[in-house]
Amino acid sequence: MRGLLAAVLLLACHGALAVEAGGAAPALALPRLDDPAASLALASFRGKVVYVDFWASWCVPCRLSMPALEGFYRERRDQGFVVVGVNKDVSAEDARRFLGKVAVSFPLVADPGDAAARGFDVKAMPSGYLVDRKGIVRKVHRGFTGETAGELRGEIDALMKEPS
Amino acid sequence: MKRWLAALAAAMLCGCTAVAPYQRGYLARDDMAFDPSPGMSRALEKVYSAKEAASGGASVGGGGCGCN
Amino acid sequence: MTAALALPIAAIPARAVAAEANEMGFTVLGYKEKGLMKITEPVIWAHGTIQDVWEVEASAAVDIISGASPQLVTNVSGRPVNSISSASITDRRNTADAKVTRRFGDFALSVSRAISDENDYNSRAFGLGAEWSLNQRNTTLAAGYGKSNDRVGSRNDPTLHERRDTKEYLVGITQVVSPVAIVQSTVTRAEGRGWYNDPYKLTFTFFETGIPLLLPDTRPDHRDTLTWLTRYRRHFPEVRGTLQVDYRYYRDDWGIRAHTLEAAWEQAFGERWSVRPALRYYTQEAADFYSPVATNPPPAILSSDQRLGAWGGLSPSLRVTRRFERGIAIEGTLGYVHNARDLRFGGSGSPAFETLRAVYGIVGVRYPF
Repeated sequence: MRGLLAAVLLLACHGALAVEAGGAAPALALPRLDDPAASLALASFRGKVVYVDFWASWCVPCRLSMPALEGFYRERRDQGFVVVGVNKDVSAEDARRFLGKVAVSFPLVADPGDAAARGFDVKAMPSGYLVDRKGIVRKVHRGFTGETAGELRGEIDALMKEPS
Repeated sequence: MKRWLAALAAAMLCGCTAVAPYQRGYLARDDMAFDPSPGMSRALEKVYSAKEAASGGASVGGGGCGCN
Repeated sequence: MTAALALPIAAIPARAVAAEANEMGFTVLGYKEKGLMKITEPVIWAHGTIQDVWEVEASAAVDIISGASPQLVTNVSGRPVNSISSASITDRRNTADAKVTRRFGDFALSVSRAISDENDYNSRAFGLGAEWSLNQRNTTLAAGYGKSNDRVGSRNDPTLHERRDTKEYLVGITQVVSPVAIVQSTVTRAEGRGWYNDPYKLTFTFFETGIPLLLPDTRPDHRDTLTWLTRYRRHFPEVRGTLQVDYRYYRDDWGIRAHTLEAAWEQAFGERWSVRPALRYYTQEAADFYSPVATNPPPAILSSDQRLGAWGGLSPSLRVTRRFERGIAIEGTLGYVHNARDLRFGGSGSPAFETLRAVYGIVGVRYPF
């Protein structure tokens, strides 16, 4: 009985180094979803407020988060805000089917080797990392509900007011 | 009986590398679910349980029937 | 008469990753035995998520059984045979159930209620469940408790009013093994007390000397069962197919031991179609008090119901699923059931067991919303 309990407790350990608020966003270059030969470097957005969002066609809350993020992107892109959607589908076909229902205009990249997911230590789907103009992660959103959208709007606007 | 259960539990709890939340794409498939279609499962349960002495396994609190 | 029916209201996780937040469906079963019973059962079901933390599941079904069921086992011809002594009857059973789950991060609590009514049997049951996800949701532990209060009557005997109460306990574990494999194992114990006799079955035995005996079906007033169900799913991305294997071990204090093994392969064709051939094998040992002939003097408990005998069954089936836009799916299953005494594992089942041949078809539609 005690052995079983010990085994259960051992399981409950989480990953050690998570990217939390305060750390620098990993400087990664990822292939574009629509053109895998082309590459998009996160560092190229330095000076803008960036929301790095990990999503997939099989992630139910992404049906809420993707349209919400598209809304934020359209409203604020001219003032220096960008969303980078990192897709975690195993096949681009699944991603394309999802995008057929939920069209977005912000940049989309793939993460075939899980380098980005591991670099940001993604713990839930979806996961969103709000990065300030200096490249520091300021807020992490795990999961996405109606409340998240409201909080995120306020956080984005606050960071946009900061200088680069 | 109890030893087999403990062995199965131990085998399942330890030694499995944790699958990250972003690696769940295949597991989300319908054919990877245990009960993707409640209507179909219920119909199949009726077909077999009406003739067999064994019953249940996946749920409790389901109630009974006359099944004559 | 089965003590507990597994319903779509499962106490253990139905899937590792939630695919649709809200879905409803309609399914119809048509089942026909060669010469005997016919069952038609429409089912409607739905599940939905409210405010991200509440989940509601519900279903309702009508069981329409017509035709005949063996009522008498008699050895008047020399060896015991089933005999259908009454005209064919139509029975109707209405059932409904609902389950509400509240999620608290990695923890969830649920409550369920099930109702079943037919003209000679009423059942009211409730269930409680708890789930705990560990290890980044790779491991889920589940526990459940259920209680069922049944009332038994007889359409032949209006003075029959008996009851049967069952308590059930469940523990289970679901473990993600790899990005393409998952396993689930559940143990359930049920303790039933009350009336188990089948009010419609009789045993009519002739002896070498003396008068024949006509005995009503008489069973113990308790039934304790243990069920162990293990299910495995393994996807092969290279061939776009999934292996599905289920094994169930059952035993009870009536002396019955049963094994069920089902293996299936679900093959995807393109984005829209999948085909699933499956084969199910079932084997059962007889109850201690099962006998197709009585002794003289008669035993205290005796049943000649061949559902309590020793036999085995093979059931192949084929399911085809067609998916449409927005996740809508139509699925159809065709199956054949062949139960015979020599299909029992090791052969030589109960001599009086009469082979059952049946065909069934199930058509369903699923609609996410």
